[in-house]
Amino acid sequence: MVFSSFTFLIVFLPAVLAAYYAAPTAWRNGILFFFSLIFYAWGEPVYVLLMIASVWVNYEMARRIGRLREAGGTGRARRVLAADCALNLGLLGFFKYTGLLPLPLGISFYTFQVMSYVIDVYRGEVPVQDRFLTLAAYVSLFPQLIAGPIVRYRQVAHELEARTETVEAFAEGVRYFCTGLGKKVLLANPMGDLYREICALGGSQSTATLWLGMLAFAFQIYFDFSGYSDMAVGLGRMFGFHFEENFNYPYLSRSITEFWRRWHISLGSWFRDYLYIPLGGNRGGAGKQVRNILIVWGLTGLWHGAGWNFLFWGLYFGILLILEKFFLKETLRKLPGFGRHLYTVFFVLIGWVLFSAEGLFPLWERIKILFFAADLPAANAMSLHYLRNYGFLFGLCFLGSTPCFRDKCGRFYWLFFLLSAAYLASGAYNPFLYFRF
Amino acid sequence: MKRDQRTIVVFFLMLGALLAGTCFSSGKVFSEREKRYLADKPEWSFSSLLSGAFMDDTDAWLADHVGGKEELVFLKTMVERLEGRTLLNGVYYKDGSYWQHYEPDPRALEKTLAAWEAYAEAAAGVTDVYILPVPLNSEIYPERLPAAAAEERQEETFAEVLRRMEGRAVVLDCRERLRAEKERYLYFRTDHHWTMEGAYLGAGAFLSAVGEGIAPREDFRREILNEGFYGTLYAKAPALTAKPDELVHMFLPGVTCEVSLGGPSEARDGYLVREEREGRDPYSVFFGGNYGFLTIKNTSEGAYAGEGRLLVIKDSYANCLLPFLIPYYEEIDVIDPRHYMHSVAGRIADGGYSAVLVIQEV
Repeated sequence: MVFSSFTFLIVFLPAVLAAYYAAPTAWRNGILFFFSLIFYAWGEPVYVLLMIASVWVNYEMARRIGRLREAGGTGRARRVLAADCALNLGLLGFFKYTGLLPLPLGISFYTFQVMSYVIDVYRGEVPVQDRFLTLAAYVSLFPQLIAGPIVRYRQVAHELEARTETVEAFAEGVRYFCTGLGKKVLLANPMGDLYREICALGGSQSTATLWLGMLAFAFQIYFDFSGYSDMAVGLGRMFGFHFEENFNYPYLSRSITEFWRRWHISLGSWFRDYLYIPLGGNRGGAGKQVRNILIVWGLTGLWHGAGWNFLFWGLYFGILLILEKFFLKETLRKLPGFGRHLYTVFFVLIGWVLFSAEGLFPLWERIKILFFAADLPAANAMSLHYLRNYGFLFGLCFLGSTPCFRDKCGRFYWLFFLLSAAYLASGAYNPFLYFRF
Repeated sequence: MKRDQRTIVVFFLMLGALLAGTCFSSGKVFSEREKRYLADKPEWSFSSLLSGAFMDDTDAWLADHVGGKEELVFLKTMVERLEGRTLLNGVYYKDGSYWQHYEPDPRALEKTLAAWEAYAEAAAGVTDVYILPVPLNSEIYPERLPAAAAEERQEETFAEVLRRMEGRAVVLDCRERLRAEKERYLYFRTDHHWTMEGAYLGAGAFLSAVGEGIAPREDFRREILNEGFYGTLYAKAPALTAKPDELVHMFLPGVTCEVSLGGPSEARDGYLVREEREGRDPYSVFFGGNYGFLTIKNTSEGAYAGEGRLLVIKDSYANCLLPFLIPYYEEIDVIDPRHYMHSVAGRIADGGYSAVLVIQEV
């Protein structure tokens, strides 16, 4: 099921809220689990069993690890952990990279979530969750099951057992949800339409038009994903959970390093805590650090998709990060803030060109056009046409990428909702880019 | 009420209103505005659950029946206009009028040309084929498009048509005739069809080509069938400032006919279906819409008696053009290939027609 659909908005959401608040507190995790299963099964009537099985296996393995740790057998506990990780990653790898079977919805998200639980149990950071239902509720929680953010078990361990639902939190949730819905439906979707239209231009393509198209893509993916994350945070609030935000105005960044602290924060910190640091992080000398960075970023790229372009995209950022860390520190410090910002936006845009490419040949063609090396004009009538038709929307997107409306946006939750309903009723193009992950 | 409480209440009111509206329109089966049947109620079965078909059907049903859908779509169009969008849903809008955006479609054109070549082949040695490609309103009035409109024109398409049909059929390019009389009300402002004034020029082009020549404008009487309606282009992207159209009927007094759909149905007196005047689609007052096959029998007397049979192969643009042809033929058979079950080429080859006229949009 998709948040930006009438099925969710007028049937599922009222139903789950009614059931949740009508039920006694002891039943509430169960209710969340039950409805989350329906939510997931709506899109994956068969793979829902796979998800339940995944939770069950990890549940049992975590209990095993807990018992072994208590008995002092850390060596054996580590072997169980290794087996558990291998199983999880093996399953993920099989579905994502072999393409033998269609990819289950949200598998990249829920696998990483459940792994965070098992690893933290091994590390002693969280106690074992003895109640299957509670763990299942955590993994399957519909607000973030399909599209993140990747909520670590330890972030909500306490709230799973004891949370308070308050009017303030619920209202905040409503505002978050409506703002996220607006971002997705009113900004991301039209930008996506524009991007696809520009990509389909044949002879009337031009350099300026394609840059506009890449800008449109950059806005689409940002508002799409951050909109969904906002909706997840908002929905969590409605049930008394406090998830952390997944985006912090990434397009304001003044370095690639900063960008990745503001973009898909939950993924970055997951990789940092569960891969980068165990690999040694920045200890062991520059050589090892470079190796660690490249491994982490190659995998970050691959997490996004099973294509060479995703791997290149990840490594591209890995290399930029290495350059920033070791060579560019002085240069960046000398640049004015505006210059650093421009530098970051440029390289992030090129990153999106890599990310959105459908193959090496189309990628090469696209780069040629963007850098005036193809047999196409610098600008043409279509460029003007798109500026005229989408200029205002681009303006909104620029503003929306900054915090200047942050405090005021909440007030217009009702307008975002109403307009989103209007756009959805028109049957507008509505897929979520990070959906098949 | 405190701010947070109010937020929650408003949120539930909005959800409730949508839900209530959807329940209210749950019985709707056909949408007049969208001119299509709405999604069926989803079927609950084990296999449809397993395959996900039930879920997809439910999503589709809800999307089709959401409460206040027409109002919501209208709201979206308003917002998009406020954003400065000039091209919405394939139509441009400026100063009260709509203009069609032309998107060249080589595949569709190829199909059309192939069909026309087949007609020409069937007609070889039997009769003559005349082709009247109808231009879009934006082709005749390009200067009325908003600034920075996407530039596609039909020039190349018309040239391609001329090239392909060279020697096989007579192509009647009436663009110049239309451009020469631009100040007239040739096309509707809110509908994609041309008016009878525009069709008059198209008919004139054909009748000159067959050696007849159309009666002068002054001979025709005019009758207003609908004083203000909003047509198909308006429906695609409504605008508050759109100027409504007038449906004017041009006719020669003394021309009468009988229209029959073939088969057991009764013949109708005249080609106007007056009940359609005030309906959702006033243009369908001409013949009542599009049928696979119909016959117009000229029942006029004297100078308007006409002779010979004409076969017209058309889309909906011809509906308001056909009346001009009636006085010149005894009988006119009209085929709409989109709804015709038999072979058009076969019909042409069977003979009996003094001419074949193809009237289609390219």
